Amino acid sequence: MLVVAGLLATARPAYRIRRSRPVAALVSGGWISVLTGVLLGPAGFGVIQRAPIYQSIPLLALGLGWIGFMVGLQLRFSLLKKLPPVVYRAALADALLTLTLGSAFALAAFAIWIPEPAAASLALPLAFVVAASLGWSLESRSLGAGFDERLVLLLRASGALLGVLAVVLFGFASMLVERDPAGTLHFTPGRAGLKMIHTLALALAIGFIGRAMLRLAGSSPGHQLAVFLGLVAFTAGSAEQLDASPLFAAALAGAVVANIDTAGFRQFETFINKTEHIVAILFGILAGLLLEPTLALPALALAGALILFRPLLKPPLFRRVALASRDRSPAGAPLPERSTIYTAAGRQSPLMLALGVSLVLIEPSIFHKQLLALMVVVGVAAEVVPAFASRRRAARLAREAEGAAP
Amino acid sequence: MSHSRAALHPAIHILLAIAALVGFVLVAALFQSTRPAVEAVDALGNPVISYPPGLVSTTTAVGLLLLGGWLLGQLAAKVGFSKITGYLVFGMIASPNIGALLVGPDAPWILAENQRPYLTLINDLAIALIALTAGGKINLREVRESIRFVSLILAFEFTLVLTVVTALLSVMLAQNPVFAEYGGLLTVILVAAVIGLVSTTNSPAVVIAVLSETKAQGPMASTSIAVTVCKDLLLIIVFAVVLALATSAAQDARAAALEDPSPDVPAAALAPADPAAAAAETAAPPPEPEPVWIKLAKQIGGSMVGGVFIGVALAWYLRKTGAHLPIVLTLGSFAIALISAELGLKTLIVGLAAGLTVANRYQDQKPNLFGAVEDLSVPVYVLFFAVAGAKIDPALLAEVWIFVLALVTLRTLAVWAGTAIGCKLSGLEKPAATWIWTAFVPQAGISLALATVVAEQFQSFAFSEKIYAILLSSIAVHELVGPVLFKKGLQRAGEVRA
Repeated sequence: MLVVAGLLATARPAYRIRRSRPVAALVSGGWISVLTGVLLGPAGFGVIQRAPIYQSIPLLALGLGWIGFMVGLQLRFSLLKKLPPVVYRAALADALLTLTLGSAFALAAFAIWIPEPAAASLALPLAFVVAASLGWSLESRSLGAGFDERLVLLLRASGALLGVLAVVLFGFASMLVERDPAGTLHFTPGRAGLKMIHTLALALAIGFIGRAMLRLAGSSPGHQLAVFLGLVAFTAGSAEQLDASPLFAAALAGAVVANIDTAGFRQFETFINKTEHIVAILFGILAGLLLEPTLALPALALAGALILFRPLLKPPLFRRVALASRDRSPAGAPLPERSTIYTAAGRQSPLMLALGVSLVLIEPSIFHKQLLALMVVVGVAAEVVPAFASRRRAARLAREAEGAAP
Repeated sequence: MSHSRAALHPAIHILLAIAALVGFVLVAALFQSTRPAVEAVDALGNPVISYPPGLVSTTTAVGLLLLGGWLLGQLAAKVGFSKITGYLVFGMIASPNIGALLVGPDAPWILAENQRPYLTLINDLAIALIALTAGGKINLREVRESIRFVSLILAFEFTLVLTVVTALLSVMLAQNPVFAEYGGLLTVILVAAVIGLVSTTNSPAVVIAVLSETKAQGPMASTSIAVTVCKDLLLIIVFAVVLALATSAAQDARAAALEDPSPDVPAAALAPADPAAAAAETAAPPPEPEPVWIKLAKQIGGSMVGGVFIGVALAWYLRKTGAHLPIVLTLGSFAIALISAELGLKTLIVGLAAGLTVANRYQDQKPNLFGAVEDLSVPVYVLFFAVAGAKIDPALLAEVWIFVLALVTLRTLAVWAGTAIGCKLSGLEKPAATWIWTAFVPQAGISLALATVVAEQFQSFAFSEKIYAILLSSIAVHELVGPVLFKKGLQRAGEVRA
């Protein structure tokens, strides 16, 4: 059923429907897929139960590894060096804002929500809330056309960097805690260090072994596919085995691969990126199936705070950083004072869905499923508010234009 | 000197890469956190679901089998063997059976025993994909034109292998006191016939994989694929009938012996090997069994209808969308396997019928579909054969080696003789006629599946373990030798293009 839903969503008629802006906004965020998952899953009509999903963990780890590679492949140093400083400033500003406010909101909510809060049991949930709140959706087509190219690049590049940061933050947190034989969670910094060394060594080895293997595979698509799938499965599986997030290990390996310049890896990159849509749709559906929608009051309060935080603070900050860059390098045409693209910084990144699925798979607990639901609520609301704001702004601009006409 | 050094370098690189991958797996196994002994709870006090042992590490195992199997396949090709042999050997080395022999049963090894059930899921995908590919390779018009070759080779090779293996095993098994307690000669002959039938199986997977690898074209290539696929269809029917008869004969004989035990028969020999199965048998009266012909008609007819339906759906998808074909095929093959299991259909026939439908009814879609199938087949074959290799148990092989040696030798001779007679009568020309028998030596997936069915069917009898050991070990030998032999045969017949 998952396959049929995924395939229908990627069929040509579905692409036609997606030309409509509201639908495009919901689809690009992955929210329609999530809704499909909710309807099909235990929270909806119960057509698909969660047990078979847990049994498919090897396949899901492979999917998470796939997404991790997509994230890591963006880290080509030759490209990163060419990015204008404003991209890093925008990413840094958002990271500081989110780490401070996101952590504060989450800790306040956890203090009320969780009966006996212990630091070790909060590390991963806290990291998830903060990582999921970092950055924004990279997509801008659903908001309209004709935006200033520099703003679109700024949105995409800084968003991509924040995506990497989110994966790294979540990956670190997933390595930091472990359960003892009595089932209690503890911080295990020593083992975390060893896991980190293993993951780094694995990423390097995957890069060099992969390069040698792709040379052997030559131009045969079948053999290349065997190598690609093997690299992703091996990297993601090794991380999963260590109770760590496959996203992080795969992102690291992806970064190594991106910086080894061979024709084989460029094909690997194209192959991985070509599947972006279907992987996003499948993970949206999975998130919908796994989430637990019954949220307690503190959880709703946290969701409310994050919903307000996104459109109220992120777009103005993004706009401020962008316009400040104009003052620093006044050469070129000035950036527009007003643009719908600024509001796009208020939308949540769809990477959150992969982080959420990873959180639930690391430990399938009600708490983790509720956190996933919470962040889905935030994501949908953050999608609706800027869309509503941009419609109102467009109407106002049209009225002003009408008034100015002779 | 420099030439040999140039040839040595890639081999060293390959072995170093495999060693590095295995090193990472062993380190990850050492670092893997111990699962809590008690049920853990989350921060809200709710229980946390714990995964069954072996499930989480299966992704690494899949990755390792893919990468390691593929690398050893490349190495095998460099030294003149079939790549499939490399995949199989890697699976064998990685197997916990080898680990138990080398480092002891409790020490961490490349693959763990608890990963086996999850790794065999690959078989479902592979069998469906192999069947789909095999169906796509059959051009009904060409089969009609070469029906004489196919039917004569099939008839003689099949009959001779079945007769010779059944006769040999009847003689050998009759010496074993365990069989004497199960109705004497009739049961022995029927059980031997079941083993004989498993021995007649070939591997369309190996044939298709070697043909893809060598890009072979010619009368030997086309006739070998047609014969192996048609034989599988025939075999499924005959196998079901003989297995039903053998089981019923053994059950009747045992029931009669239990009612009237002979003073010469030790009680232990009459007792079922599996007490739980025996308890289940005696606890409730068995339901009235469905007549064999109705069961077969349902299975085969249903599978064909299901396959045609899937073929039409695939053609429709290709025509209307055609996007993400590798993903569609991977998940579609899983769907074929799962739906077949759910409805009691034969995955092999469903896949064959689907492939046949697309290849013969929707010819315009054939290149799209089978181009994607061919790309996908490499990773699937690597995994499938590596997993098959991991099932080989050297300890078991040592126990029954004399039976296995006899079975392998006689089967190979019967395959050669039966095929030669069939080729002579059908008029297949040389050199294809001289070497086509090599296509019928390999055994793999279908043979393993049938051996498992035999073992399950006879699980309550004392002889089941020995039969399974003989079958599994002889299949292992054919798995390892078969692809090499077939590749050599194709080379000698002058049909290799790659």
